[in-house]
Amino acid sequence: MTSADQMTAVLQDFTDQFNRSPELPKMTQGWDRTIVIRARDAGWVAALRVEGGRVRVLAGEAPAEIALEGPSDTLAAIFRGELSPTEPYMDGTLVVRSTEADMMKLDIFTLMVWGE
Amino acid sequence: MAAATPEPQQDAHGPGSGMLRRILGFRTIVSTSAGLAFAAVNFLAVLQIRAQAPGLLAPLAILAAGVLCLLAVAVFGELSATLPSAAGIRVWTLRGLGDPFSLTFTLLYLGTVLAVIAADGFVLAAALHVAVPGVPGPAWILLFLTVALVSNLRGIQMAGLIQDLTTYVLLAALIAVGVAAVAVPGHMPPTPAAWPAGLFGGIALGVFVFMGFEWVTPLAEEARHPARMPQGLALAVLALAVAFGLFALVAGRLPAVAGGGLAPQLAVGHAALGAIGFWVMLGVTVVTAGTTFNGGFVAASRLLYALGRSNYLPAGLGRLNGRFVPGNALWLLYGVSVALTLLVFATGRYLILINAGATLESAMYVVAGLALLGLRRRMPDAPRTWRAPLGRVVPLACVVVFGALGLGAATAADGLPWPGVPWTLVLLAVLALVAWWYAVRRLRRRAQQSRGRREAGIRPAPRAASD
Repeated sequence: MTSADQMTAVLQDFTDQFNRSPELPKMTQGWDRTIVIRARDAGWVAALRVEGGRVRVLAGEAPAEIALEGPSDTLAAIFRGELSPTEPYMDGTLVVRSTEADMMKLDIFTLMVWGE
Repeated sequence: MAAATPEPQQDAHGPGSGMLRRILGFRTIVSTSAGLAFAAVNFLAVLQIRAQAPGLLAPLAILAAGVLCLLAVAVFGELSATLPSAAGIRVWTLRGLGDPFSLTFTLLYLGTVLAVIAADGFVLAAALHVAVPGVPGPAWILLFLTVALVSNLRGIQMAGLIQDLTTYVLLAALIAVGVAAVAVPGHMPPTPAAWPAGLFGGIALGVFVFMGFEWVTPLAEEARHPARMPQGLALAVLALAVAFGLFALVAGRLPAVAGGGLAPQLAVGHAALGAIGFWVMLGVTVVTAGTTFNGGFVAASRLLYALGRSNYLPAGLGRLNGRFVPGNALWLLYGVSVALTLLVFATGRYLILINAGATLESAMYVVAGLALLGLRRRMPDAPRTWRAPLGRVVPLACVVVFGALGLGAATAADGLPWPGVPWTLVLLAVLALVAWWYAVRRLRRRAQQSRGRREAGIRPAPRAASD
């Protein structure tokens, strides 16, 4: 099980990679979204804010356009780039609450952060 | 600073739903459900139902099919209340029935979307050819499918309010024309002596009219009140039953429709309100077919994308274009839809699409019933925002009733040579075998790739909980 502190480190690493990318800040211009991440088993909630082409970790919960919910290890693996979010989403392990367009953008951004 | 914090108390709408800014109201659930089922080919399906169930049996068959669909409403209601997922049928069948069956059925389900697009393209071309005889039907097919492709490739989406209005206006126009047509003198054919068999055949094909109402369940994740999803589905089914039951009633007694043209809705509109009625029904046909093309492309392309991304289909289908839409999947759908629609238009053999659609839809309800029974067994304590009443009675009745109706639809007359051969059944059996072969092969390859990754020392991805 991934703890809240471990997940914070994972998200910090993810945001660093994202903000260092030459393409992602351009691609996410105008796509300002808050993403809430909820671990079913570990009981923590985390949040990311994408704004002005940059992403940052938020402290705690916030009103969001996108909500991810699943086992803590799955969520950590997605943001570490070890697992495509599509796979746990298609088997019901990961629940994504958002519009389809936002869902696909998030999927492709995580792919671009870590590569195939 | 620990950005990930202990979870606060959840709200009454279920985990996570209270945090979302984008939420769907009850009105949109009803309109989306009805809109997804409202297809132009439904008008031709009514003719096919009338051929099985003449006279008053036709509207009765549609109403009865609608009432029976309430069983499916209850099943889908509980499925989406237990596992609310935009991947809907894939998730439920995977959790309830296992991977090979789930992938096979998902592929077949994609086929139903293509069948409905082709059938609607055929109806649209036939109707526009009546209105504008100078333009050949295939030109209309290419025009409308290309518009749907381009708007999808550009990521253009209809606003929710316009979507709601479109569906309600379509239903209101159909009911208004139907009510006006009741006053037109006509002759209702007598009920045949062998009416029980006719009524059963009519109900089996009547399921087609409601096909797709459950495609709204993936939106359960966005619903403001997920527990009201079953009520929304039921209202949509009842609205469709009334609108198309009324249409079957008036169409059955009008001599202009009895002629057997391929645009019965235009004949009913003309008989009811003259030229205005004709053009209103042409508008209904065009808008309905347009929304079918668009909705079909949106839903099927996203499913193809997700299957491509998770390596269940060729990876090329899991690519997005510069506007973040699955371009390859859309082009594939466009190519197959155009080919299938032109084939149907050239041969005029549309009945097999209606029969196949009704069969697959019934099969869908059977599978949903089985999946619910499986989920209840495997996840007995999973939280649910809604539960179907009467224990196992509803899912079991859904399996039995739609199993029988599906068989009836699969063996209905299809107008093809050698009438003794159940062509619909043959076609679906071949497609199912091909899909099963592909699914087993693909799953084996995925398993090998996964083993290869493990042996190469790549950390294995966490798997789904076995619950």
